[in-house]
Amino acid sequence: MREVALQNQLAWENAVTRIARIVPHLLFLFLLVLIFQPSLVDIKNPWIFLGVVGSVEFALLWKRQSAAAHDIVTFVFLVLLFWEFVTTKIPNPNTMLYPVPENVFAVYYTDWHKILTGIGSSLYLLGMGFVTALVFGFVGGMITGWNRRLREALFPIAKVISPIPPIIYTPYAVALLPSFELASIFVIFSSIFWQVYISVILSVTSIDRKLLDSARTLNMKPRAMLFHILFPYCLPKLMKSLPISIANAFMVLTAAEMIGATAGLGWFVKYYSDFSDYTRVIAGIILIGVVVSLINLLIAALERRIVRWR
Amino acid sequence: MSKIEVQDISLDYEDKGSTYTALENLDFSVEQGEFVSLIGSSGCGKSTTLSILSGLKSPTKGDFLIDGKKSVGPGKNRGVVFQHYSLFPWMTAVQNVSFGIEQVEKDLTKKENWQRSVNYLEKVGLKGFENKYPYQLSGGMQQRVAIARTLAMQPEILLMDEPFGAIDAKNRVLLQDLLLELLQKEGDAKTIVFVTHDVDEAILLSDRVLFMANKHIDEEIPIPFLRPRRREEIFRTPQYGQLRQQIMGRFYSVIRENIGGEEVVL
Repeated sequence: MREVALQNQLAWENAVTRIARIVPHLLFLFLLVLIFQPSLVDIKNPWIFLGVVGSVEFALLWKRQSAAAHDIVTFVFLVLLFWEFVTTKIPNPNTMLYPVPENVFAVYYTDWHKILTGIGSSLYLLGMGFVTALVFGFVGGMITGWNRRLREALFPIAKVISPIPPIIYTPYAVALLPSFELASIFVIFSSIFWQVYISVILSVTSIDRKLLDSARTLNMKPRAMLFHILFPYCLPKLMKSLPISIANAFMVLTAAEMIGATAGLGWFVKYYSDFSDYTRVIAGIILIGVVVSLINLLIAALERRIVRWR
Repeated sequence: MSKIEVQDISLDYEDKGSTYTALENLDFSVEQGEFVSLIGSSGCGKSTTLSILSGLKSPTKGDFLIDGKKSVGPGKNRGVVFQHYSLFPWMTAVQNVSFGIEQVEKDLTKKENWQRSVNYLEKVGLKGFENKYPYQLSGGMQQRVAIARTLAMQPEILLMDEPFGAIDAKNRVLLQDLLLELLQKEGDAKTIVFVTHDVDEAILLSDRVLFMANKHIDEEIPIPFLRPRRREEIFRTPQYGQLRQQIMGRFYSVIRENIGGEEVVL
């Protein structure tokens, strides 16, 4: 009896798995049909949207992805289907407030120049603030964590300053510093620096006693200790926390751009919000998500290359 | 003059206002080329003694001499093998060994250093595993790398803190035999202090066993077997049984003392 039940269950699970692998492809076809149906609102250029949907489907087919990938694509297609349907196939009460997907994606074609310079400007500010914060936070954290006197003085100070959200001092930084660039870099720097600094201090102080003893009995000089023991010990933890730091930095960056920039991803969204051009606003929001994800993919690849000992 | 002299050492810890004594009037010496085991139940201070010998801890009272000179802190003349977790996870086996060599011999070329590292890994039976990271090696293999690293640094004194304590029974036997074999080749060049709680291990490896109890040396037991030693031969002799009994007897009497003179069922 129990074997039969188990077999039934297995058969059932098998069927579910097989269906789940077909669903995204069915949704894709359904979405295609829907896009080519006459729309109730004016569509300027459906091809970019079609291209995006097509590439997602192509990637799924081509790489024979995992069950999770199928589920994710299913979710994405469901959202797009819903969006396409409610904005173009039933009467849309306000096309400004409820933009059509085709038009949103078409923005990437019509505004490509503005978007590219925006990405460039944002990444420049982010990179400058991020890299300086990382270097100063890491080196400073290692030295502070290692030296007891420094640690006992600086750690409490860091704990007071770090929880102040850097967004708070954005307006003042913009007013105080000579250029907007410098102000944004400073704000991004402070959004990441404290986090890295504190986590490296904690990481140094929590280093395994046995590992440290073993290093000490090798007659290590302080410099070797810093670069060959503490540095590689703290590195993996830091790499793991980078995606969160990037997300925070991006939050701060876009907020800063809304105040004083003349280009950038945050500026793009803010600028068109002022004109109630929500088609471009949504395009900008989606773009920010894509850019952050790409950065995180890059970090993950870097981590795999650098941290090979796990 | 003995190689190592421990003169009436005491060690007190300060912890939240109260003082805790880890060692009290510890006094012993080790001769050049001698293999001495420190044995005793946990908490008797044997590992602390080794921390003092390795320079990781300094005594609050008394002196510790090497070749008649007062010794402070770690030094090139001593190499330490710990129970576990002493390899650096971010270095491969050969990198771990060569990093150790680099710390004591700066004027070796990269090639010479590498050659010596590979040689020592081969000596401990790890040919072909040079480029593995510690997480890719079994516990026994990691300990072989740790031994190779310490030997490759060519210290005069070898300090081993329960080096085989976390290794399974079969590998422990292999490692003990390996150690006997390696030390045989070194002759009298190495002086060894070995901490263990394994009676068989102590008898098999040592020239002298120091039984520790209550924070000092309680009894000294010479092990008369000639070298080279072979496990099967030694374990068969009646002498071995007597020595074993003698040391086990010490363990029981310590337990009896600590519990309060009542009969103990073990």
